[in-house]
Amino acid sequence: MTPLSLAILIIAIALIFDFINGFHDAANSVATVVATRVLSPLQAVVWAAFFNFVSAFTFGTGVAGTVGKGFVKLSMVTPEVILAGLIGAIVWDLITWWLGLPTSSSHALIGGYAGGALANAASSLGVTRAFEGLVRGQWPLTVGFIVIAPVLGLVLAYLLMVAIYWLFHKSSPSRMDAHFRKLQLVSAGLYSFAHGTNDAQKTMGIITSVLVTGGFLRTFRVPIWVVLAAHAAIALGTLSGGWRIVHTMGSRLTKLRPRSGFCAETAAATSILFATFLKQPVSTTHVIAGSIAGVGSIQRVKAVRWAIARKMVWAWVLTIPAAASIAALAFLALSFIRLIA
Amino acid sequence: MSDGALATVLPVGLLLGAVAFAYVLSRSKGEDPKLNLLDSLFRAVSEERSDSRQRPA
Repeated sequence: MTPLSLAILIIAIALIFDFINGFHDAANSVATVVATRVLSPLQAVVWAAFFNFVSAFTFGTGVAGTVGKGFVKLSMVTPEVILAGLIGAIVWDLITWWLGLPTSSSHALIGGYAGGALANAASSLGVTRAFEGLVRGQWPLTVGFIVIAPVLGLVLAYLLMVAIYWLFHKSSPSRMDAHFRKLQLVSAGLYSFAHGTNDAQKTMGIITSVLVTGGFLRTFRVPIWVVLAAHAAIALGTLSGGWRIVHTMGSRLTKLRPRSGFCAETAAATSILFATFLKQPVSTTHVIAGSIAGVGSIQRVKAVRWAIARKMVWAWVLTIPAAASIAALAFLALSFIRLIA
Repeated sequence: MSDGALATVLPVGLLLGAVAFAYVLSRSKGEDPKLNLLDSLFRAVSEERSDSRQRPA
């Protein structure tokens, strides 16, 4: 296979990953606005996919740079490393989907990419020097943001709820909700916009790495066609995943007040946009879950379901090492195939 | 198969595969872990609201 065919194959797989990411995360984008009955499931899906795509034209490509060159040594990145990384991320996403665990596609991608680079360094430099495949780079901040982003969402949602109760303390609940039904259209769009800009950039980072390591680009600069392709893939994934929700569970969601939905979505969008501004890839699932918990915690801390929080923490802890292990195995398998071919 | 043909067939094949995969997934009736997670959080929020008659702050 020539470098061009291999690059095309990996780019196609990266876009499939992006599509699956949108599919996986469709619930995050549509559930809140459907639960408040502000939009019908179908309207919510179209609204979310539209803002996923529109976000392509803003916020630059800082997160793409972080994913592409902030975690692994570029000299250790080969097309096989990237392919193994994508296989690790996709396989882990599908396993956790099967097990019903709400894991992060973003963390799976970072783990997979690192696992591929570690396996390459181990096979070329020796097992004891495997960690030379990684760079310290963005790891501390990105690992920190695994906790910071959802906690920020939780705190912001709580503060927004307090502010709203204070501002509208003379309004009746029904009047208050009439305002927030309109405002939630903005917050739902803002959340999908934030989701699109952070998540699609992860795939852009991977595709740009393919182009750099394949010699098709001299410097790490994301081409515009990559930006458009990544946003189109995630928007189509959201449409497809949302379509499934429309036909399965959309109408059975627990009812939520528009003001609660507005606060959760606005807090989550702010937290994700803040991370994007700092060029950090974050789990949009963890952020929206943290924000909804923040809305609930205004009543009592008991409203935070600790069983759910525990499940999420397990998902946080497991995702990066698990995707890295699958990617390392995939790298070894690819190397073996190359050896016997 | 030549590399040129492979470079055309692979992405088209993958794209068709992805569309078929998306169709199958979108028609599947299985549980959605993220939707379940969010719905259980919504339930916690609305249960708390119905439990408590007092407004905070």
